[in-house]
Amino acid sequence: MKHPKNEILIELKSLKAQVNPHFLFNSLNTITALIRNYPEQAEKVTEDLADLFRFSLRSGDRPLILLGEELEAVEMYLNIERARFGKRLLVEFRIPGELKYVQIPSLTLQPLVENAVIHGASRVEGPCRIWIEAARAGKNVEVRVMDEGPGFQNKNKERLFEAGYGLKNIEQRLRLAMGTESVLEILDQGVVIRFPLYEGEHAAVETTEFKTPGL
Amino acid sequence: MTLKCILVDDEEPARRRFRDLLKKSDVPVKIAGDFGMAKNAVAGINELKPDVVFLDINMPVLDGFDVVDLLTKPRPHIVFVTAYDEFALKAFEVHALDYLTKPVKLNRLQQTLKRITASTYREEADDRLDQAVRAARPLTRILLKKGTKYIVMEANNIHYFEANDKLLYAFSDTKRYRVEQTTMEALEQRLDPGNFIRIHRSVIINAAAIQALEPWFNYRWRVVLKNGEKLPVAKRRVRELKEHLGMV
Repeated sequence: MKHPKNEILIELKSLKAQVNPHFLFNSLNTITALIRNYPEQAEKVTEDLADLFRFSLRSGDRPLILLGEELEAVEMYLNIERARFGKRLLVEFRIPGELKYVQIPSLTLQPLVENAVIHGASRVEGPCRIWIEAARAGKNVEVRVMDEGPGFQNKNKERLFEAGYGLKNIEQRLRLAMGTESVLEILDQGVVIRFPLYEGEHAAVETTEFKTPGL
Repeated sequence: MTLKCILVDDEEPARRRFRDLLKKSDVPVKIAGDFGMAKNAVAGINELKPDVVFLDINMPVLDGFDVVDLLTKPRPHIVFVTAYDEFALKAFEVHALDYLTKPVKLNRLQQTLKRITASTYREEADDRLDQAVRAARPLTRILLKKGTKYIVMEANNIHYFEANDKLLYAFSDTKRYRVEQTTMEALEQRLDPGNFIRIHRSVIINAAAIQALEPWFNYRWRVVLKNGEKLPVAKRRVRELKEHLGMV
């Protein structure tokens, strides 16, 4: 089934997600730290940073993408954060191959993973696991972004939506793009988004396997 | 004179980079230690008694401000280091406290080191540090009085503060509480400017409590709160309020 309502996508542009300035400055700091002793890693982080910014700028023109493409952006983001946090950041992907071709508004998962890093992993002194899992639930897709950090102290959705984590913007864009039955729910250790399953063009996703990087 | 330094940052690459910079500095320094965990840093600083501590602000469990609170006096020179923290930086500037932004530049670091080498009057700097830390850390809990009892409330649960005839009140839902021993000005300074905004000489409002902004008589505006209460906005504060709410 293809997604029917393309006009709505224009509205999505006005809700475009923004890049977090903390992330930019911290990434630049990581790069300066790597240049001298780990020049190849510095190169890699710079490339990922450039790709991620391009992805973010382009999302206005192409607000609806494939889950696989969004996960590629999440990977770029995590590569940069792994350089910064080292072994403190453990990431697992549990994504069934066939779900890589379902449609999702761009910059839906990346900010959720960024929240898991900022409010989860970076608040823990030791190693912290973050996991991203997708599953089919009837006619819907569910994607969970979870972390082993302190978790939500208060799960009141209305309050969290006003608290500046960008969750409200994410749910708005999700509902606009995928229909009003779409929802973002707060869990103890993360969030889950649920939205109707629409398949996109297979060709747009590389045959990247999203798997847990070796430690 | 060689300055004895300690670095505190939870990110390993950030510490490594800072070490490299200090080694390149033309001001003589000795790195007495670096710490990735704030609680170890507190013990280390109290024990090693360095001249200067380069202290990251955003760290897990204890942040840079908590570290300062836990140090025994006399404390070393504290130089805060942060990637981007608009609110804290404003507070440091108001209190003339030196700080560094990441990525740190060698020139800028050397200026700081020279300033520390030249400074002699330590007590004044110590007071400034306390004031700056107090101002840089937003109030998240507020002590309120209801009848004869004091209660602690999360600042975010307060809809607005109102000054009335030299007394200060906090309003949450339909309840009114006394706020003692502070002023509108002090509150405005210490509440998180991301959430609270002054809309009137006598009113500071929690942006999350605002439902609407509507024109009132005589080209004036007022805010409507989610619970239906209405509060006038001073003419000269309308623009700031609109900016805060993303309308300009």
